[in-house]
Amino acid sequence: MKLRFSRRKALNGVMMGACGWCTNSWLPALADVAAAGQRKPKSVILIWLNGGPATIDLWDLKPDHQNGGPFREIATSVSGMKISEHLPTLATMAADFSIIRSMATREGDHARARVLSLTGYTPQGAINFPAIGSLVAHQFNVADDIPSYVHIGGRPTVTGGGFLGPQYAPFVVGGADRRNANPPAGNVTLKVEDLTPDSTSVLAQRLQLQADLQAVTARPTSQVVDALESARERALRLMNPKAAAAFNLDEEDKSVRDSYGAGSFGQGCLMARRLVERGVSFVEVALDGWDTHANNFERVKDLSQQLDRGAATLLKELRERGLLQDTLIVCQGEFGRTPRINGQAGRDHWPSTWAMMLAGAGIRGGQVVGKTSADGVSLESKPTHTADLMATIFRSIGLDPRKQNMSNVGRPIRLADPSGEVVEELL
Amino acid sequence: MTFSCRSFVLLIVVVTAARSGFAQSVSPGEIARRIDQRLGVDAANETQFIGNSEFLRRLTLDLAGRIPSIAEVHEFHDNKSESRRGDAIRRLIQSGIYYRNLATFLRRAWVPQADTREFSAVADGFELWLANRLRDGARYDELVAEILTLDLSKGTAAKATPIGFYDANMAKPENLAASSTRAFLGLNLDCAQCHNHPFSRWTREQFWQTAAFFAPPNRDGNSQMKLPRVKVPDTELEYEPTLLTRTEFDLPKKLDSVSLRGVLVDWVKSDSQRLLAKNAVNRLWAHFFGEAIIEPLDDLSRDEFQVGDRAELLNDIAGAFVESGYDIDIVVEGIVSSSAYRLSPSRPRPASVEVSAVSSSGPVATEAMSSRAIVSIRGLTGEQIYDSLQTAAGLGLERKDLASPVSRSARQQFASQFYVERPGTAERSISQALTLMNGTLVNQLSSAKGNPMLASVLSSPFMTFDEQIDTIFIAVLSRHAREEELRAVKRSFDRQPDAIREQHLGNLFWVLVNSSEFNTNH
Repeated sequence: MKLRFSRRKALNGVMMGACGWCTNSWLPALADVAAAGQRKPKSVILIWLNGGPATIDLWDLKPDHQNGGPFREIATSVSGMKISEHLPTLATMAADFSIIRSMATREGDHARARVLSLTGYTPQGAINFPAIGSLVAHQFNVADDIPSYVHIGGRPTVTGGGFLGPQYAPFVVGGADRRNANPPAGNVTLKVEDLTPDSTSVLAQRLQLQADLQAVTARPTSQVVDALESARERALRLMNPKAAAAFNLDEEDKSVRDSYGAGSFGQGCLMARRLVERGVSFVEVALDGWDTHANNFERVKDLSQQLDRGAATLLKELRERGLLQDTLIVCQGEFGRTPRINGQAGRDHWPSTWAMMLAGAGIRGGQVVGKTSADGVSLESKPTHTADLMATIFRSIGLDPRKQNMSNVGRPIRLADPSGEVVEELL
Repeated sequence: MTFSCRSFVLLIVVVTAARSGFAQSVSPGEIARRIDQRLGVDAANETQFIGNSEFLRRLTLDLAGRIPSIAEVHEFHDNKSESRRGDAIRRLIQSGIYYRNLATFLRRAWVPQADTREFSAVADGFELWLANRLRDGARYDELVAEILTLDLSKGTAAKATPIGFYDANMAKPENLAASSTRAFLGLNLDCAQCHNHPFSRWTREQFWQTAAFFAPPNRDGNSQMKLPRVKVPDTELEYEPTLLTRTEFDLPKKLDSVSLRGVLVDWVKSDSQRLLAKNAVNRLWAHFFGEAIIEPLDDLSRDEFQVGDRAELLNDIAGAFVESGYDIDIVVEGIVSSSAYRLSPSRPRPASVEVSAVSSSGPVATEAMSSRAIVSIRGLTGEQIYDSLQTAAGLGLERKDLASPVSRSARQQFASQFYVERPGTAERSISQALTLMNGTLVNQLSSAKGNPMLASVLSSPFMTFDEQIDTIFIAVLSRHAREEELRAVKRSFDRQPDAIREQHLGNLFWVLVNSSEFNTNH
């Protein structure tokens, strides 16, 4: 019965949408959303630098050493805190973010390192670890027609919801498909494929027939069938125009869209802002291309410019809209790259010393945590492991990292690996 | 040449004998009997089995990768003979589409990387090679040997080639070692790549010793070929090729990278644990039943998996597979001919049958096996959904060999969007659900213009409205509409008087392809 009820509700939503399309006015709907959220729940935006960024060329430069390469360091608005010359806008906003320069992890293979970074746990045996996005979505459990964990512009590392189940799986926007070797580059129009039906009235007929048939059909108990039904329910709720509008960047002024940068990363940052405004718990925005085994400096320069524009505009808009205090921004990839520059002017995988950036929510800005040696190869401070970072992330959004969830192997698993210690100086 | 040579000779004898027919001591019927005995499935207890329509649908999805056509459904129902299930099984196993489906299954087990963006390019050539070889009657062990002893120094312009196995592993010894042991032996060696783990049976030393088989031998100071040594990154450690069982082997007379990998192949074929056969059977079982006999798929050597019902079942079928001369078709036919294959999904077996189940090797079907459902409901793979949509709409299947190698076909795009790692635990994403509801393909198929089946139903004046509705049920769900469904459909149509019949029937097609019944193999 519950099923039928929600389907009818969804049906009504779509029907209401038909009227909405006629008047072409979303403003009342938006006002509703804004009024409803008196106390905004926390959100996280993960800026995912896929491929393993050369953080020695972003956040922890070594201009006085041969490992440093050609990039220069520039001063930021926080005295003593210096970053790459190719992140000039972020440099003016350094009081809003902090850098950890003592990241040290053990996985140097893309797939394994991604799983470690995204789940907080080393891949092992049969435990189906959920991504941090699923964990956060599950903890905040914001009931809404918009999925609470959204991935924009790439392919999520953990495609399902892990042991939390499919309702916490990432919803993917604008990703290249799984086997498409050459996804289009540049000015990508970010949109949710197949979100709008060709004809609302035909869809209404079909949903009616579907409901009538389901009423006389018994559904077998099966995990697979439940997952199918759940996805269909959530897809229908998302088709409700009020929910679907969250993904429509055309509602933004052209000047705002331009300020984020034209590529899928910049536009993804803008979409992330729209989604956290609507209470989405976790948004991943991917910027791909950091696996720079060759030609590192040219490629990192280009990527840095995209990152600088998108991330800085995002920070600025979140602050202006009073959202930064409730939104945590995490910017990292799966590992860093070798301080030594290889024969193709590239850098290879290097999990031993790398850096990442944090901003917003409970994070105190303008801090630099940790120190690497003059050549960048070793740490001169206490290492920060993935578990420490995870504990810090959970704490900064008000969650207890020791909180447990029951896993698929019948063993409770904590949000963050219990070996992790919160990096207190950041909070 | 003590160990490997002797076993190699022995193997040649066995294989040759199998080829000539008389050593083929195991029949599909015998395999089916062993399965049912082990599982304690009582063939006489009809209530535990699925019906005929469901059987044909399950069988066709598993063997041909698509639902049965309307004609196939009618043919099956019209065949009233005792052997109709066997007839359907043999018809499917002899069809070309069976090999294409089997090739996709094996490719996914052996080169799973090809389902990712990075290595998508290797899938087609590899599957085409597999389908060709399977059609030629190649045995399972031959296929593995051909892959592992591929001569990489000889370039090939052939479109059908197993080179994708090496490409997907970037031809790196460590990747090839990890993939080979997982794909062909069901062992998870790569955990030991970086360091020793307290709970793993494999050491880092063993990992790199296996990897060394995939490194090229080189010349020493006297221009003699010598065994390669591989270095563990960031350490001073170096290892020479050594078999996992520490079995001694003699150097091949002419040592090169192909003959060195040949040593590994000889060992794999003669290994007393029969991991080559067990891994194949375990993965095939997962294909037909949802859950493998031993899970996870890549930890076959773990101690606790060596005893108990599940281990015995796997031993039995793997033994039969070896006896058959690694004939995949015989094992496949054996599995789908078993009564166990016809069990209803997710229904625990009645306890009473256990009494009747005593085999020559002792009582069977203890708790471990019977507490879980033997057949689980599986999600359809992307390829299955696409091919089934085409079949339901009365369209021909897309021919893979005619597809352009450059642009990806609609089938490939759809299949990759609807990719599932394990059908038995398939999850559906919101995006996939949206595509099935609002996507171009399904909407084209939901009108008579894009759907020859609908068009022909609509232009058949001799059909009553009930028959038209029923035909759409058969086309999409491979079964007749139930009485109450017919009534519900007509009632719903009546409430929408504005729509014409074509629209109604198109809507029905849309509703049925969006149902969980269509999207699962049950």
